[in-house]
Amino acid sequence: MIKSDQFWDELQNLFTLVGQIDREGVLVRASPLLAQKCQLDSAGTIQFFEHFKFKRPTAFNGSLSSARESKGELFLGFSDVLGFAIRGQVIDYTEMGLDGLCFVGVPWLWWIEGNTVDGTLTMSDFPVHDVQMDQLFFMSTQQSMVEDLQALNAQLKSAKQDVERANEARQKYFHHVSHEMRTPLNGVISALSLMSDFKLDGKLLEYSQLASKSADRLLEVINFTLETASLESHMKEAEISAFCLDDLIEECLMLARSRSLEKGLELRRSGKRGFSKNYMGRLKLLRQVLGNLLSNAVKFSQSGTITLGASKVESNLPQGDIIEFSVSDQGPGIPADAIDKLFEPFTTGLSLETQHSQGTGLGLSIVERFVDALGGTISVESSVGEGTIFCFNIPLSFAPENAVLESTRVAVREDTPKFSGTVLLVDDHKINLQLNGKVLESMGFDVAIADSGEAAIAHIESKAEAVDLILMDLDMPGLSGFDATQRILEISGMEDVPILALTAHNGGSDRRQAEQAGMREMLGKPMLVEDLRTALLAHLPATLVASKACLGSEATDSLKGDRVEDCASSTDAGSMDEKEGHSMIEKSQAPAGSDDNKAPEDVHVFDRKPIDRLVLEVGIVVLETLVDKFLGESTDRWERLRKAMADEERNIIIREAHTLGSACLTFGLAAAGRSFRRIEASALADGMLPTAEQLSPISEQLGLGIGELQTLLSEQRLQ
Amino acid sequence: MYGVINKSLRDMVVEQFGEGKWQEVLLRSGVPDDSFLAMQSYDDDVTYSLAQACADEMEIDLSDALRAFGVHWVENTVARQYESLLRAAGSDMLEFLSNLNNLHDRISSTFLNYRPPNFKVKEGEGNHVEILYLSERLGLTPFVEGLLQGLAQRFNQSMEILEIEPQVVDEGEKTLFKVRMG
Repeated sequence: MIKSDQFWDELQNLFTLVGQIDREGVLVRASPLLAQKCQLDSAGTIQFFEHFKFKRPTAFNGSLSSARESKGELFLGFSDVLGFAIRGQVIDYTEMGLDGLCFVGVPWLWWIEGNTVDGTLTMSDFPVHDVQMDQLFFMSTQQSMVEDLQALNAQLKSAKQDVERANEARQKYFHHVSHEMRTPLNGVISALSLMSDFKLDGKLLEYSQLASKSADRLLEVINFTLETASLESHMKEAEISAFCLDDLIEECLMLARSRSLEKGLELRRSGKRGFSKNYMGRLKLLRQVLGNLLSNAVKFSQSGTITLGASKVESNLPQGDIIEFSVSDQGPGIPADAIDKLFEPFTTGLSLETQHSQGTGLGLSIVERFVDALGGTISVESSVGEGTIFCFNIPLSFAPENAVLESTRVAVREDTPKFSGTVLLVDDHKINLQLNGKVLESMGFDVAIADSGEAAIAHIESKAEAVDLILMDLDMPGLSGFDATQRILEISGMEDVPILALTAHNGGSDRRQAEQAGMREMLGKPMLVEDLRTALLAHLPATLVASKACLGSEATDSLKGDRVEDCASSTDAGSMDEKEGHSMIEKSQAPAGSDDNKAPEDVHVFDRKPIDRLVLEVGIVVLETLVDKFLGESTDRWERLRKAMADEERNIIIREAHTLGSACLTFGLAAAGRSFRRIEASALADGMLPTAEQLSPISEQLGLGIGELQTLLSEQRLQ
Repeated sequence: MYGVINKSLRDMVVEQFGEGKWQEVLLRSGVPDDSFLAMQSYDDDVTYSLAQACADEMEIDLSDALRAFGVHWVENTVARQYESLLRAAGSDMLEFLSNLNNLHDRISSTFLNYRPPNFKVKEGEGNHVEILYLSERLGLTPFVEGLLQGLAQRFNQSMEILEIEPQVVDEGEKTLFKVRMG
């Protein structure tokens, strides 16, 4: 027996499971709960450490000596037979005059909860200091908490999806409504524009001008709505990608170059070139920001220099750089009182009259939102009469070494053949001259232009510059393309210069006539850049071709002076010299080919494919300029065509219908283009001349088509 | 009070009258949202406002609403979420009530803002029992009345409340329930 019964009682006050174990390991005395669970009265001799399987201590082997060595460690034991488990410690009773051990502890609640149906434990089975019941309550409540959070999460997810669906539906609705409004509105604007060609006077003129201005303003508001609706989806779609910052800057400069040249502005880059690493970031947004700022600088400047800067800023970013971008101009500047509102929609810092002529003023509002999304803040400094500078810093992380870079337009072009030399472009249609001239420039050529056969001959005879290839329109007033070709080839030194025909007609007679005149190949109008590139590869000397795709550096020397036959044949093209078949001619007419036999009313009013190609080749800025010019010029041509029909002037009808048809097809106005072609064909036949009544459906086709064209240009501008 | 109380009140209304009625209760109460988390402590006014709004919406007295809530609390919330504890705390109503203070003490060690009531059970002759309820909070005696009814049902015991005797106290509420157990 222990020295002090009082001590035994105190142990039972502290623990509900107390057992005295003698030197043989026999349970000789137990607290009531332990005695009850171990059936001490009826089970005979109980070897305590064999009565339970001990999960802990891990080093415990069931012997008395092992138990003694494990004093101070947690004992976790259970008995499947008893449906009971214990947790506690072993203490030495030696000091109390007993040669043995004592187990003190409590029921192992979690084992019992998990392994028995009904543990039949009550709170009194646990001493007040034992935390297992607290844990049980805590765990029960926490389970409830987890369920609450899961339910809330599901609700939030559902609500988020509802909001996204509603937002998407709203955007689609805005887009649809804006589009539906803009299409007929363009018809109104076109009709009002045509009305202005009539001699209106007095109140009629005043009302017509009022209607025209109001319609223009309404179109701006609709465009704003459409662009705003597109903004969210555009931001959402702008994913993070790896890119070369130098290429991006060059691309932005390239896109702004043509318009700045037109205005006599100098465009340059400041800051150190050659960033040592590629970056990761939301390329689409950054491209849009730089493009908008450059576009604005060009738009509002009348002279001086526009500078795009990009440089690293000192930072502690471990895996990236802070890049400072700036776009400065020497334009009119922005008044101080307008700076604060500059980034609000519809604000440009200009007077209302000027603003009206320069657009909606949405651009800077978009720029600010995009810079914010890029992790930066944009600022502006401006002095009236001196210029403006926009700056923003954004963090860009380094791209992994093996990251696949997002292609910039600059980079894309590096993979396609590059040319050098001079091409003489001959076309009486100014827009074709400009558009095709830009395409040729983008390919690397110097471009000379002539707006007639006579001008082309004069240019060559002036010997102002050597011409390496001529692109000749066949249908021109005065000297035709056929005749001009024959005369050029008779000029000394021009015998071997390749002349390629540009024609809107695909008839066999044109082809034969072109061949007889000495032309090497026929290209369709609108001109497909891929066809042009194929033809150039086939007909230019290799010295004027430098292509990663076609010529490796080792091959260049051996091909010098030869035509690049391999490259040409690999594109499955044929030249008129080499092939009797029609493959090239049929291919060159591809843009018109599929719809050629269809009536205009069976053709869609608008075909976006030509625009998609042109955006890729000349960029949205140049394209928009040319579309503007086309729209302005078309009004005059339309009036001339109408008058010629009324006066039965066959040649003028042919000329104007031809030009309008060609231009319409260039800009994707498929149905109107076909209609003009039909009028041209009808006038070319010797029968009755087409009448002015035939113009009525074309007006509608034009209005609808131009609406779709402008919608697409708005979307492309945002991309 | 903790969110588990408010959640229980919501569940009672939703189970008995539907989600629409609960939304009307919520609107009437002025409580901005019902995203209650069980382990989060909320101002007592939230619970009082919801209880009052329930009574107003059902066009019953607040005491009736609280009484119904007391029954629901035992039969649904406690039985569903704390069955193990309920079982451990007693095998009959009086044992449970005797252990309740002990249980509340344990909960207080985990939930630091917990301000539980206190119960004293005194068994008399002829199955008569006096249950003294003390709380820092006011107005919850009908809720406790519902609790007692719910506990009796939970332990399959018959119980009759003979008298509910409010007692004078400086702060909070003190009520003596005189009951007869079957």
